[in-house]
Amino acid sequence: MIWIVLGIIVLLVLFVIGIYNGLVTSRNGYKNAFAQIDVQLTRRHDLIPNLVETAKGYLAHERGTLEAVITARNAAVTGLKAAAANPGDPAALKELASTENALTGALGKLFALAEAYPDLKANRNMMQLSEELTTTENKVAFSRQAFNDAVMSYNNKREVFPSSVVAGMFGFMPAELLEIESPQKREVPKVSFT
Amino acid sequence: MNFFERQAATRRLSRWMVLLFVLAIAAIVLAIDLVVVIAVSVLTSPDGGLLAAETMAFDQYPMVVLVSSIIVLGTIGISSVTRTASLSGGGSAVAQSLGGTRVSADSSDPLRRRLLNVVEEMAIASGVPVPQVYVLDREAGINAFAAGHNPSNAAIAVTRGALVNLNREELQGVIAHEFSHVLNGDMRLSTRLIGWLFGLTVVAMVARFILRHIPRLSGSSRKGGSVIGVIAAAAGIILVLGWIGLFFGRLIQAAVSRKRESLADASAIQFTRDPQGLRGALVKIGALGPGSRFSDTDAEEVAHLLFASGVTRAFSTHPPLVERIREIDPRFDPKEFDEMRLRMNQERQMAEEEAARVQPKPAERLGTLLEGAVVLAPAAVAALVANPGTQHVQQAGLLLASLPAEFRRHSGQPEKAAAIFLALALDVSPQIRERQLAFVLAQLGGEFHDQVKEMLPYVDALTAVQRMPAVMQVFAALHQLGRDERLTLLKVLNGLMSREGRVSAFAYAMRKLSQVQLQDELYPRRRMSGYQTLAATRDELQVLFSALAAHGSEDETEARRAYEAGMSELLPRARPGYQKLGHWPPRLDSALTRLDSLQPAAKEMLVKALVRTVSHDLRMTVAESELLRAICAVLHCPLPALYADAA
Repeated sequence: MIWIVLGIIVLLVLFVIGIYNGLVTSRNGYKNAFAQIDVQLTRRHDLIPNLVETAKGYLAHERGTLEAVITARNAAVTGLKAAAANPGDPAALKELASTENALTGALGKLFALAEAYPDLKANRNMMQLSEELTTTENKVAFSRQAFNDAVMSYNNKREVFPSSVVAGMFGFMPAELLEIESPQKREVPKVSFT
Repeated sequence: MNFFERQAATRRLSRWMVLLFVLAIAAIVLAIDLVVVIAVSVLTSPDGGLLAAETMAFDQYPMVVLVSSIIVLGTIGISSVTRTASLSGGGSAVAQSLGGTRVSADSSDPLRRRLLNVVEEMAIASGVPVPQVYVLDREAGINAFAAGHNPSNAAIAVTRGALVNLNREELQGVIAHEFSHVLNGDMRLSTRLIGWLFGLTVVAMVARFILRHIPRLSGSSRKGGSVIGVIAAAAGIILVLGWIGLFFGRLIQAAVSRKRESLADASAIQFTRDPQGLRGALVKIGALGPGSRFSDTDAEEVAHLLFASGVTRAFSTHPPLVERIREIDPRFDPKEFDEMRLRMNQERQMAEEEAARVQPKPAERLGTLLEGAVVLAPAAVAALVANPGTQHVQQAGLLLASLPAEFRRHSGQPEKAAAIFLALALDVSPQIRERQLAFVLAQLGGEFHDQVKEMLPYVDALTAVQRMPAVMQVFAALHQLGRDERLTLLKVLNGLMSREGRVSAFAYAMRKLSQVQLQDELYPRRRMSGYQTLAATRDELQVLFSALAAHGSEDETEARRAYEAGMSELLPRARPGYQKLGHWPPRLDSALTRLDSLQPAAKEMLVKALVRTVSHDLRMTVAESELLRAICAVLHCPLPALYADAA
């Protein structure tokens, strides 16, 4: 009798260990997926000072826009740092998404302005920088997909029974999806005359 | 259809293919046996009279059938196996056999840069390792293919037409299409098929060979015009039979390709989540003069790998263009082809006018770009190997933009580029130059000699800083040259160097970079990393560091100091001392060959130490920068050009 009870306990413990390990693996999965985004976003942030430097010579009268880009960039750098420290923290992730979206908006305005300056558009540096920015943003978009998939699978694991019990016991927190606007949807901001 | 269903479909398809292949071989063997038997019986029949004495008994026919079957099967088998073995290098072997040139990671050409970026994006989107990227510079049509046995040895090749004519989204659509081949496993099937198809077509090729050489045979032999006649007839019939092989081969190609292409289009849209790109690319194929056709006839055997049909024939490898576009956009109207043609012409005109309007201004920063105070962080530089930072790409752009417009125009054309290339290699002193020009005249003829002379003023107008970027610019056009032309050019270059009294750092760097850029591509290395340790190569290291130190310093004490700065890093305990080298190029050559087989980690340390030597006096001369770049290229650690404010 005692052996049967002992056997059941051992099985139960093994079962819990298995679930626990599965949860840890999938948590590491989304953290790793975030690292990919981190790399690309950092590169994006690194490109922007160069971009502003290049544009400055042509857009002397548009200081406001250029400064807005720099401010938004600095906010995004802080946001990324906070999120990279703990990719699972919903608040940090929301903050990152909003700062990145603000940066996308500011950049959109800058590129819309650049449309009016053919010399700037034809500038080799500017062309290369916008190519690098585009590719970085695309890479962010694609790695975001992988991150969100990983988060989804982690959240599913965390919430279904019986692993939800184990998750509750060991304090596995829910993770947040990352919602950054897709750069392909970047449009020229609408000008209103009111 | 999801991923697993698609892979299952691929497996079903491979079984079909094997069946078709076996049928094809059986058909060929049977048909050839039949012809041989008829030929033999005609030759030996009593009333044929020709070989009447040796009239063959009927029971010997099985023997004849067996022998001819074995010969045919053996020919097919051996040729299939050899062709398959020649593709064992994976996708890059296929790309190279079609004249593809590898796009290096430090490429600063904006179009190639964009291509690399798009490929990296798609690698992230599809979760496949980044494949090798090739450009087929000789193809003006819009096309692309992916080849390889598995995702890790895959290569993606894009024609020059696609590179130039497609915009970013369209290129993305095409690359996404190719990635879906990589991912779904049909790339593996298609690549294997190349080898098999070769076996099927070889019979026709053998028959063609015999027919071509018959006239000579009949000339030499008196004995019987009729024997020759019969052989000719048999060969002619075998050629017709060989067409059975071609027929089945194309049938298999079409079977493999047609369905796959529609599926790949669908998953390309899944990857990019943007149907417009792929649609635009297909429309441009319809609008462009050469369309998607290949000029290289070798493309026949890879027809089933291509993005759009590269050859016109009965069993088409791809669904009709309009049908493919309608799959994406049901409301497509073929009139759009004409509109697109007009638009492409307009855009081309506008771009030309734009280029004429914007005169490149020599950047003021250029003067300070080199020869300034520089403290390079060795670790940071090692990280740059095959991974240039934005500043480097920008600076390379700046330097290229500062080249005179005339020069850039000439250097874009392969024939002129070859002349500029040799003009750049000429020495500055008039006497040596005279001797070198005489050598060019002797080797390449008067016309070429005059071209080189014509280019001299452009070359002489370049400053020291601009010369290396000019060489790099010329390489882009030289990649379009064929194998023999490249080898001749390299031979003449080496000849020019040997006619120079003392070899300058620039000349040495140019020769080394040319070898890497033009020759290594023709003979790709099998092994990427070596096994040597630093301690085992101390003599080579001594030569390398002595040469580098001597070029950056004015006197021997300083050279000694520069030498120690780097060497103490590599061999902290016992190391050979600085050595004054006499005629250094040959010694550096053999040292570099040996050092190329260092272990990867050792190479990284070596690059760091080289940077220490170069930057120990906080100054980087043009000679040092050029030598460093050439050394790293030979060691297969491509390094972007480093300039003072880049570090």
